Amino acid sequence: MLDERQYEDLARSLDGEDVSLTAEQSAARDEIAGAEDALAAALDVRMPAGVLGRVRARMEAASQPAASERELLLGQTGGRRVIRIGPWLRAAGALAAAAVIVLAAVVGWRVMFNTPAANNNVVETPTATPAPNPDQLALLTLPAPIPEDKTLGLLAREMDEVAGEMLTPPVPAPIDVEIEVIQHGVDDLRLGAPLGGPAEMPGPE
Amino acid sequence: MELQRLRATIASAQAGRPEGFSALLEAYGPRLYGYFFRATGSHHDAEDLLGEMMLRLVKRLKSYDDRGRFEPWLFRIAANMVRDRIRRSRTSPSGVSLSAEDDSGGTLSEQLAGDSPAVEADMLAGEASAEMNAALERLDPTTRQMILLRHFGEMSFKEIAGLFDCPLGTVLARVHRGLRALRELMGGSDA
Repeated sequence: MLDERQYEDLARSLDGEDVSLTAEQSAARDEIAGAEDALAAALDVRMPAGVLGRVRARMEAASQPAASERELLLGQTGGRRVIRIGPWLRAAGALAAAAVIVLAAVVGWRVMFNTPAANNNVVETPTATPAPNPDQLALLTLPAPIPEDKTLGLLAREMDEVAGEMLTPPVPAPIDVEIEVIQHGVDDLRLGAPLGGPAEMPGPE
Repeated sequence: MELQRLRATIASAQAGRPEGFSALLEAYGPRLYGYFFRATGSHHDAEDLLGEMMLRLVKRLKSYDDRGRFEPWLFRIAANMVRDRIRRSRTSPSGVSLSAEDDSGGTLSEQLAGDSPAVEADMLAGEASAEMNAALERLDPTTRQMILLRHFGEMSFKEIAGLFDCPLGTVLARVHRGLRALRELMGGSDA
């Protein structure tokens, strides 16, 4: 049996280097070369027909990257343009959304609390809760006749509850007050007046 | 492939010409296929790996600098692909496809369709091939890879030692023992 060093010299010899070998190394060399030759035919594989054609088709599709790369680069350039104008679009969208929310909140507030519209650039800040109309309250708080149908009865009770909630508005939340302040700012800007802070806002009449 | 012709073919492929890649496939496809088949034991995997290999070649050939031999560079990529495939197959076993070719080289649907005059010869060849695969399976994976790369990749022992980061003497000792075992498993010294 050869040792590591002897195998190393033998490997060099098999790789084509001019190395002097011992008789044992020469015998091993003959055995290895003979085994490689003998097994070569058994190791070889007959490639099934059609494989090369299928692989070639797959490869040719991938080896024409020029057009797709150009398209990709053009696409990236377009993408960069979109990215450049993106922040402006996003900012404009955010501003528009904020304005819509503020306007919706103000309109909703005025509808619910019957707040008079601002005149002469003066906008009221709603701080007091208007008293519900006693006649409406009396009408809506009358016990409704319960229909025989349970579903209809449930629906009637739900409607009563909603009506009651509408007549007893909740205390405005701090966020609502802030929205109102923003609305004042928007109104001032729209009307050409100097943009004032909350301290400069006119109080309720 | 002759060296000058090989260089011209590689240059053509590096320039992105389809005929260059096609010539490389013609020259090395059968050997790569054989290596993949003996390494995986499956014609389906061999074809899939050959296709994947050529796609990698399309992407990587530009990085080949022509200073070394082409075959070891090519089969180094192939050996890494086999290693990855074997790792993946251990974690996710694959299913059977009717369109996939079985180990005798024919599709399952073709075999189900009926006998043909070449079936008997194909069956005998398939049996011998399966016997070789079974014998290779008995070797440890590193020795098996060394023997396959030596045969299909025509790699020197020094190149194999570099690929496996293994001492030269150790490589030959492994190959020597592996070849001896294969000859015994294949039915004696006649192989």
